[in-house]
Amino acid sequence: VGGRNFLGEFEQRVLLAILRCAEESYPIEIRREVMRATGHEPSRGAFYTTLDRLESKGLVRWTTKAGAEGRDGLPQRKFTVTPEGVRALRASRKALLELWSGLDRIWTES
Amino acid sequence: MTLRLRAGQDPPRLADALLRRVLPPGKRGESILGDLREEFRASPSRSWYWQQALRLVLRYLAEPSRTTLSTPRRSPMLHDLTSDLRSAFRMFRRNPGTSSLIVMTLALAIGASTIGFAFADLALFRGLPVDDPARVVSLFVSDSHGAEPIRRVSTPDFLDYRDRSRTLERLSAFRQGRAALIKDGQSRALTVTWATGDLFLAMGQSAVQGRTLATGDDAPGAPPVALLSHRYWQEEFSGRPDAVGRTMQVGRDIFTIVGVLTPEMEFGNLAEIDAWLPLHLTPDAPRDTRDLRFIARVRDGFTFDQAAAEMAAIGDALAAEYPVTNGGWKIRLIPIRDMTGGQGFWVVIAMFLLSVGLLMAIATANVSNLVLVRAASRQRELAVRAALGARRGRLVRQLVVEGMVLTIVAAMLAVVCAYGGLQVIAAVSSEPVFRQLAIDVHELSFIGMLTLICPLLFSIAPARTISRADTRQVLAAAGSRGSTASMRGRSSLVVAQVSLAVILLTISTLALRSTNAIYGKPTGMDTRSSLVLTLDFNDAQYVDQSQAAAASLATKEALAGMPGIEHAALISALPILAPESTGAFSVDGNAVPPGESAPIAVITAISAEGASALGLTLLTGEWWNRETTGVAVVSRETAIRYLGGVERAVGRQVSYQSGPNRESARVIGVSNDVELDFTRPPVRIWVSMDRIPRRITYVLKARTDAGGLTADVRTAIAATAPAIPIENMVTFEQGFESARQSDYVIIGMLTGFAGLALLLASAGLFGVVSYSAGQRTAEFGTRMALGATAWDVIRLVSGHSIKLLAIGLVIGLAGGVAVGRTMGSLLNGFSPADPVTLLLVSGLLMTITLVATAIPAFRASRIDPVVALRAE
Repeated sequence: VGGRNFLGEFEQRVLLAILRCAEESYPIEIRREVMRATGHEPSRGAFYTTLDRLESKGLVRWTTKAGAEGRDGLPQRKFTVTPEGVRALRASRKALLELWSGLDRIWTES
Repeated sequence: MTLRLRAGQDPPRLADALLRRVLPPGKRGESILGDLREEFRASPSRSWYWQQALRLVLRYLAEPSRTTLSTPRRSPMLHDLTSDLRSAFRMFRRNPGTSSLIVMTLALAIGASTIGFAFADLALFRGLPVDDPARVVSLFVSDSHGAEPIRRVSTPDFLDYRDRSRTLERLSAFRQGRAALIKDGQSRALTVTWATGDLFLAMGQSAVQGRTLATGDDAPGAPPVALLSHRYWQEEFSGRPDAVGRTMQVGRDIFTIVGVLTPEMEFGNLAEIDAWLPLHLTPDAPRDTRDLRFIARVRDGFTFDQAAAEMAAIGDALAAEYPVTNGGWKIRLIPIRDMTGGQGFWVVIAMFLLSVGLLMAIATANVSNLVLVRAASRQRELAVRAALGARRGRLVRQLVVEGMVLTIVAAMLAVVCAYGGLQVIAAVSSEPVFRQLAIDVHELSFIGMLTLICPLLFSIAPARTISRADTRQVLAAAGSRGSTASMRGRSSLVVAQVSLAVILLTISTLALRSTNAIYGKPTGMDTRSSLVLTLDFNDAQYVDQSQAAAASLATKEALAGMPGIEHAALISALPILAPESTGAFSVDGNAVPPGESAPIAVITAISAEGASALGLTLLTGEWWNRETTGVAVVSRETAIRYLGGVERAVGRQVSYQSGPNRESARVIGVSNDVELDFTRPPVRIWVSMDRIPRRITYVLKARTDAGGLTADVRTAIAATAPAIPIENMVTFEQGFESARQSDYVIIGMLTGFAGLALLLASAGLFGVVSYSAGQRTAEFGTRMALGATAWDVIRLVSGHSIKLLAIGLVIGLAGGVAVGRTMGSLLNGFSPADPVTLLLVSGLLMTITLVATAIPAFRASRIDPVVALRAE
């Protein structure tokens, strides 16, 4: 299962950003959070297609609500990470930490 | 009720429409749109919105999410189209090499074609600045000796046309020339055209400021008025409206500026005109001094043919009334469109259009080939889809949509290519026509048309193989080998490409060789190290003719006295470099037989040093010295045609018209012919310069290098003719060079088309040969296992390409010669079946084929039989 749900780096960032946004997890805020943390603006196209991909993998879910002001009545999506998504994140983190362990010299050097 | 938003805060509607097409349906897409709206409202910038929208569109086209495909809620037609588009983008990503090759091929071909089209467009659709080309006419007159018809009429003839014609109206005449603008005591040369008042009504042109010349402005005693060209107005008055009403001094006359002409008038050489001045017609001018251009309008209620018949009749009547000057002359009325450029011009345009067509055909064939290769490798995919129930039409449509996407990308690049090309052309040649080439609605529509047609054309061949393919057979086959049918299709495409490229190559080589031959031919003069310049001793600075003559002689003496100068001569007009005046002449006072016209000659007045300064060769007799007047030297052609041969010319008497006077001169010698042509040299009479005209050209023969003398020459002229500007000071070779330049630009373009065609055709050849060699790997392996040598394999591979080349070459050379025949006048008597051209073209083609074949052949010969057979 872990193999199939292997996460790309950008996917990880998006998932983490959704979790960080908690109650405010609308795409605009999620994208802003990714931007804040990584320092560069992800392309809008890449961002939305990643959300779609995460959804089709069953890692996120969304609900809609009526649009806020300034959206001309267009709906707004709110994302939550599914338990499956959390599991995938955990697996990724574990794998990364595993790979990093013993390499402390490298990241303290610079 | 929602609040209506201010217009500035609304996002671009087109971008929204595009997004709604592409984004996933339902709430998913709507919410993305909503996010974009919300951020837009925070900082409204339309360009930002467009940018974001395009990024989304591109991404969603290239990478469709699975969820969208499973919910086809839109109309099936539209859904098919978007999915075709998506698959087109996928193809692009998956196969960037082939796709960029296709795009590049098309971009270059469309770009080059657009340049060719821009030429044709300028001539065909923009054309002369007249509002109703069908009704505006001009005329040719021709003599009975079969000489080239001339487009000029004499003043009395013009006045008679104006009085007698019932079918024409607004008959007008004009004459181009130079005049001296006097400003702050200095003079400056202006390019002016003297025109009768009706000219602009005849052409249907108007003024952007003030008025044009009007009927009555040309009447004797009318106040002198001037009309500025738009360009001159911009340059000299920075486009200020108060220019109208000001005065300018031209020669001794003060002209009031009455208006500025529209910029549309600046077509072809008309673009060089600074100002238009009224033409005062002198009814007593000689009838055989034909120096006015003619434009008129066919009166409403009459047809062109009626007008042409009437003018021909008027011409015949004048021939009967004035047999000496008009006998044998015929008038032919022509639509104004035929005035552009002359016959060679239309041949050039036809060549350009032909080249464009051939080039596009080759490019399409090339792309078709590339698509075929791709289709062959996709045959399994397509067969699977067909087996799953996709209709053939649907598959073909997908091919066309893919082609369309590639062509659109190519078309955008082509605009850039064409624009760059035109910039280069304008930089190379100073000819105004080249600067008038532009890319606007016409050219963009042309590109748009190609964008629609090309994908259809290059999808035909692959579509046929798809619809022919037997699904079961393809799916059953283990490998992905192309069928023999598609191989044959590709080979015939290559043959077609090669033959079309050979046609283009033959045409351009012929044009280049014939032009080289003309310019390489001796002109009959020795013009190495000679410097030429023109001075206009105008009537404002030199009121009396005698003062002007004295000043020009003094200048000549001063120049002749310079240490670097061997000879200095005065000449009325330079052969080859300047328009020369022609006139009727007669020999020994003999009357012309009735019904024939008096012979016409180029009459050049020249000072005694002229023969040495121009490096003429005297065949018999002598040249005159400074003291002699009333003598002439005729050219060889003149002596042979009209004086009974070179030996019998000396001592005869010729009389000719010189301005208002009838002059007579004794022939004392025969010179060689001077001309830049393959056909008959012109009839030419050199006459002694007994009266020095105000406007005069100097020919200075330097002892060593003419170019280095210019500064000293300027100093010398500043001392003897202080207020007179020096016009066109160049070495003869420079002048010659710039005269050649426009020809070479045109030939360069033809050669460029041919080179591109050759490149594409050889790429096609390479593709087919290496593909078929690849397909036969197993066969070669078997052969080599059975004892064939590497050479045998090379022979097998090259045999194929040589066969293609041979067929293409034969068809192409035959086609090239056939087209060459229609080029006629452009070749200046050069044979279209010129063996050197044919050899050159064949040689080039063979070399290229060799290169295109060598690589695949060599690769095939290195096959390891074991590996090849194992793959099978």
